[in-house]
Amino acid sequence: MHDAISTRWLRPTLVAAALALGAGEAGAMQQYPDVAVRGEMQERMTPPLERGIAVRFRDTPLADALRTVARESGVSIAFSDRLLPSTRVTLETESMPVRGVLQALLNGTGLMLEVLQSGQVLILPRTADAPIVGMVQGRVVSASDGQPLRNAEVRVIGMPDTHTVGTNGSGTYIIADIPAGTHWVRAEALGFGADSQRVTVRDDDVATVNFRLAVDAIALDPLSATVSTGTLVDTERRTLGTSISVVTAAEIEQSGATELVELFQGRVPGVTSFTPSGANGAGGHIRVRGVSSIMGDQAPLIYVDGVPVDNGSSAGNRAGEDVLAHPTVTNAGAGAHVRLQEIPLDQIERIEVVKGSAATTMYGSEAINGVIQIFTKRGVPGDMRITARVEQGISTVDLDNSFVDRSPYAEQIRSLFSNPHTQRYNVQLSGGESRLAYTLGADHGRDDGVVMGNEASETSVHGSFSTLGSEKLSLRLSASLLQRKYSSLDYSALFDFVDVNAEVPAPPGIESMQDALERGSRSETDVQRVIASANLTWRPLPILQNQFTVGLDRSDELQLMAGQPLRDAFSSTFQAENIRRDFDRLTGRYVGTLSYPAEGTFTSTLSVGAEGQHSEVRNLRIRGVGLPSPGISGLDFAESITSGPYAPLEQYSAIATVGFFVQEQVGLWNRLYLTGGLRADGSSAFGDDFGLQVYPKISASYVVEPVEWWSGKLRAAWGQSGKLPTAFAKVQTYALSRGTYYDRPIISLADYGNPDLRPELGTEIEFGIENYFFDNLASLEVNYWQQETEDALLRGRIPMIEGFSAPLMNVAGLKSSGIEAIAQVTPIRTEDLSLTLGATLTHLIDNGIITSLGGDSTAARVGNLYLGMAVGQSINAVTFTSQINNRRVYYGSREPTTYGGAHADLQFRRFQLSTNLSFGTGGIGLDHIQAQEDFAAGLITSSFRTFDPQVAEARYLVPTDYLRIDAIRLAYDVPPSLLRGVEFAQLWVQARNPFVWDRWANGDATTISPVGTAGGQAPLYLAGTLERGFSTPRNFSLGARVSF
Amino acid sequence: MKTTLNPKGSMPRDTATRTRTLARSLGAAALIATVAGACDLDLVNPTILARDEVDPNLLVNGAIERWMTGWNSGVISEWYASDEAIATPETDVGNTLLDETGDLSASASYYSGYALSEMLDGRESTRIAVARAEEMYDAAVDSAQKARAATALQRAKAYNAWFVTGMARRRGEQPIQPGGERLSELAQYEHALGYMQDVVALAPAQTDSLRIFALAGSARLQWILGQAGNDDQRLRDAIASAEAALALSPDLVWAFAWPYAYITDWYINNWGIALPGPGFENIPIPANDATTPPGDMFVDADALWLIMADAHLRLGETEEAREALASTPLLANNHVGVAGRDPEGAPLTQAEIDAWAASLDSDGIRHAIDELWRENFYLRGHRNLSNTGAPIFPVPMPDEALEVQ
Repeated sequence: MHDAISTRWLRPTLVAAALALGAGEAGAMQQYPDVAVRGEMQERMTPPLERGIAVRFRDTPLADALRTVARESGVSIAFSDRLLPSTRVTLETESMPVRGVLQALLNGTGLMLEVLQSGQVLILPRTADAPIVGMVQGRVVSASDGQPLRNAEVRVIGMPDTHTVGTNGSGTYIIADIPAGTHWVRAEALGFGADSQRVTVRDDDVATVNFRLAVDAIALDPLSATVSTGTLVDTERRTLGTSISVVTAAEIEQSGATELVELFQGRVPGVTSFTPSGANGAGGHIRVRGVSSIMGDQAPLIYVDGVPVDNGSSAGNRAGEDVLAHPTVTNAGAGAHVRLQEIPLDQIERIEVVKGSAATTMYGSEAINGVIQIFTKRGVPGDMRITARVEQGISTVDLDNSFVDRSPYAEQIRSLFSNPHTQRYNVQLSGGESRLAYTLGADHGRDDGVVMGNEASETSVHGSFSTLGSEKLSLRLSASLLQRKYSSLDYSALFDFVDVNAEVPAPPGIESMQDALERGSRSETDVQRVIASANLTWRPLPILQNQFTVGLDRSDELQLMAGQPLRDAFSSTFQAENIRRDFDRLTGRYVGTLSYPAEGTFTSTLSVGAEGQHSEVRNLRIRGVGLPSPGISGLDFAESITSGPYAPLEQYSAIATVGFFVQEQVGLWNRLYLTGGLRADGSSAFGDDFGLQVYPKISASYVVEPVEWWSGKLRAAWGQSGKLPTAFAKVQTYALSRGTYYDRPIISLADYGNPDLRPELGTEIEFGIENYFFDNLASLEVNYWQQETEDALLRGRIPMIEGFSAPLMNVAGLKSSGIEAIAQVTPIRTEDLSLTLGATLTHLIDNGIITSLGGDSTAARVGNLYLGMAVGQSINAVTFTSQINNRRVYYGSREPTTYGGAHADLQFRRFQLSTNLSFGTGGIGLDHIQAQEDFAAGLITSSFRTFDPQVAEARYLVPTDYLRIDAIRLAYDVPPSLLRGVEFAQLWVQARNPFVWDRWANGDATTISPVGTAGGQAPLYLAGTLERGFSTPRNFSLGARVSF
Repeated sequence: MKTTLNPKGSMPRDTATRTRTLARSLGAAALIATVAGACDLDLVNPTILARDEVDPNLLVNGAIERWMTGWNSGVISEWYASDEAIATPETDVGNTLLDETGDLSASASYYSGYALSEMLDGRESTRIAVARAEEMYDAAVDSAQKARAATALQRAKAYNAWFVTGMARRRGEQPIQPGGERLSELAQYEHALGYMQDVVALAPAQTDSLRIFALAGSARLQWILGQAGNDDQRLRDAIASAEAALALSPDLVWAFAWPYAYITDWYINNWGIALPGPGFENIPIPANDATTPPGDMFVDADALWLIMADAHLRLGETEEAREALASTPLLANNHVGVAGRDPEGAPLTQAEIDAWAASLDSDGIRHAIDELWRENFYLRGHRNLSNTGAPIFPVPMPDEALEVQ
């Protein structure tokens, strides 16, 4: 420090001079300077001049500014008005040491500050021997979109912590009191790669250093960045014993993704995603670290702003993957998760992905499939900033595949597809002042659909309000409202109308598929959803934090179908079907955290809390037949009303769960972190004879002593989490309906019930190493994990009750294991040019290998549902019935066993080029075209029922390896000088899914439904192209974003 | 009391205050935990019925649906496994193997699949219906309620007896309720017979249709038990029961009419790859009507006459056997060539039948009974003879289904 000691001999003289000149004393000790950002204890330990304060001066007289600083900081500042020049100053900062603020204000005035031993500050004329100091200021923005980065950390390398500051809401920073000379200044921000620049600081001068940080999923100061997921309280990564992946808003922008499912393709190790079809409304699947349940849904738990939200399937999805209602044995092969599409990506600030039971323990009985935490955008203080974004594009679908080419109906099929217009609009308002920050956003998107009649549109608004300024109490409210609509036609029996051998001959006047579609029924789906949360944080003591969270997710979905189903061959009357799905989920949570001691050789963080949730789903399906004319969706004129052929008229599911948790984290020497915790859950879904389910965990993280070129940590974790049984499965229940065969009311045993029902129990062990090379210019993270599921649910096992009404029982088991890696390197980083390359790789050593079927080691046991399953095989098996012995033969996994992705981000001056690709290998599929042709030629007796195993392997099994370029994006930042009043402007061109290579002759391997039915049914059946799916469309778009 | 000075100059904060704050926080946490813990986790589903809300009559309706769903799936395999059908080389391998071996345990869908599970559900549903009806009977406070409960109990027992019999014949030794002890096939018949007799006893009138059905059902069970135990009395009981049933209902048919001519249309006419076995070529597929339903049948008038003929024959009462045989309605119009009937020709007259019957010795009567049984069983899953000559039933239950949890 260069202050009082070096000028000690001058002090009496200068003080006398200052007082003689009529100096006034401004300021006094102030009570509760709300501008302070650190805890009370820290403040007590921090010299007043080094405490951070927030100031906002705009063209303010220097004297007034000094008085304000004195008042806000409580530091006594003495100066003479006569000494001060008539300068007016402008300075805004949210957290800057008082000393730095004063240096900034005095910069260029010929004045200096002197600190007396009492802590009082004197403003004096510069002396000859005064330290030669200057300042650095600048702005930190995202390289991808120019958005200012708030809370980025900027520091002068080699200088004390007092020369480390955070950026404000406009991304600006200022560091004062820097000795003249050449320095390196470094900027880091959560989710972005760090950057360092050299700067020459001159005496009493201000140097400017601006940073444009590139997106970086992992190398956000790797070990000190804070994450929110997997632990009960925001935690530095260095303390985590488990892997966690972060996807930032900038990454989302660069990915070109329009849906959550697309975002994860090849981007996050251990996570894979599939879209079953390129159709609007098709939904998708996200799978985290393989398969962990036989009957249950494989979808991860989704949180939005700390509140778990619906991740179910559509009301119209007859396969029904509604975890609350009826999990399907095909576990994710059936209904895709349409709810994933309802979270607009433009509203997301950050996504954190927690993988495996070792990391998801604190989420309890719904977390066995991993947890994805979505954090929506929040406001930053400052002038209102308006950002508008618009994107226009066209889509095409790849129909150049064997299926279409070899189909006798190729032209008919192609005629149903077109190149539709896609459009997306977004506007965001953000701003606030020192006590309140807000953001308001609105999105609208429309996609006319590549296939006839498959339009979709969505509109959403999002708002968030956060209180600032008080370290004791803060509140954040956020809410999203969404409306999503999509339509589809009756694609179910199109081939019947052009096939002379069809089961249902086409009526007169129907000569093409287009004719049939226009005459057939039409479905309109309308989803309205609200997700809202409130987070209150109360810190009565610096060492104690109380967090209260309440949240709501409510969605109403109505699907109306009206017209003539094609399969009825245009009967003389018409029918309509109304399908409703209403979902409600309420969550309340409390987490109390005691951090004591918070610093030092030994640290301790103890968290305790409780969480309660109540979820409810109501499904209603009503079909009216005998309507007098087409297009009537109201059922008043129906001759009769039924529940339709697929589902009960009314279905209700509800689950209430209460969890209690405790976690203790101990830090030793700021290197070794040990975490232990447990969660105990009770749930309405558990059997009455079963009590609480306890999930323990333990983990360790060791931050290795860094060397010049390397830093990193080792970690290991073990933990458990669970999966709830189906709602009401514990109770013996009966259903009243009308008989299928005999037209009379019947009561059927709906579920035999199981009072001992308990959750599926996942146990995972994980080892990982994180490496950061050359000041984070390169990084490599490798994880090995192994997860086993005990008490997996199957139906049956009570003697003589083996059917669909048989009870769910915790008798089975399965396991998955794998290795995953993510690497990133920045070989070039200059002011004009930077290049970042990244890759992820996941290899599933085991994926859903069945370890137990409850004592039955052979395949089929309970109903047709379990055909094809056997101990030692994957539940994603591709199997055939052997022609030799009539037994199922296992061939391998349907899903890729190795998958990953790569991305390259090149920045050259104002241009940015981003590419993402993904790949998968190790999965196999069935060549249905070949089988159909062989069937037609009489070479086999029936398609996909029985084969000679060797023939099947050689002739009908095809690897589903694929390589896909997910997106290519070229962006250009328009110089602000060209656009008056615009702070930032960017233009881009983008291609989404421009190229897919695969070895799958039947269409697009990347749209394979990940599991399908266990018996090996094809995702693309000959007569089902439009029913089952087609490739994800290519999309080419132009876009622009401006901020002002 | 230790007092520390707040460096910010605020009011002195003492350790007691801090303790109170800490306690307040913990209190808030405890309050939330208590509230959460007190939440009622016992939710109610308004769209489904609990056991004590179940009407046993409607549950029997549901049981019949389940039973027939399973029967519909399983009877195809039984048809192939027996000598009734020939699987051509083009047929699915599974059915070809069934045809060749008669081993139904090789058929996953039959052995432990849909056929089994649905039929078990049907049987279990009738057992619960019996229990529910008994509860209602016990709780009845007036004669009208008792009568309604008795009717429900009568019907539940009748169909439980049917389904227990059907499962015993198909699957042999097994428990007949979850967690129950294993019963031998004959013990299951005894259980069914007891229920049939209860149904007769519960009947409000002599002409009650369920009473008549139960008499016919008793005849079948008594005949089976009489054969198995060489029990002459059981055989005489069978004859008496059959006579009593036929006296009240000469054209009796106790069967489930099956709305879907599954075998007929799908396997034979459409696919054209499954053929009737030798001796079955001329037997018409049972019509889809109430008189000769293609669905599952427990017993009919033809069966009762054949039971009587067989029982008399076993008792050495050849003349009575001959008379019963000659009285079998099916005989006049049989398609298996009994009594020299041309399947394409006109029905036999009673005079022709009597003349033919008079010429039969006991072996001739036995042969005629067997042939007529074959026609009577056609496509109903009763035919217990494979192409190899071995019986196809019982098909042992899967091991795990026999475990008592």
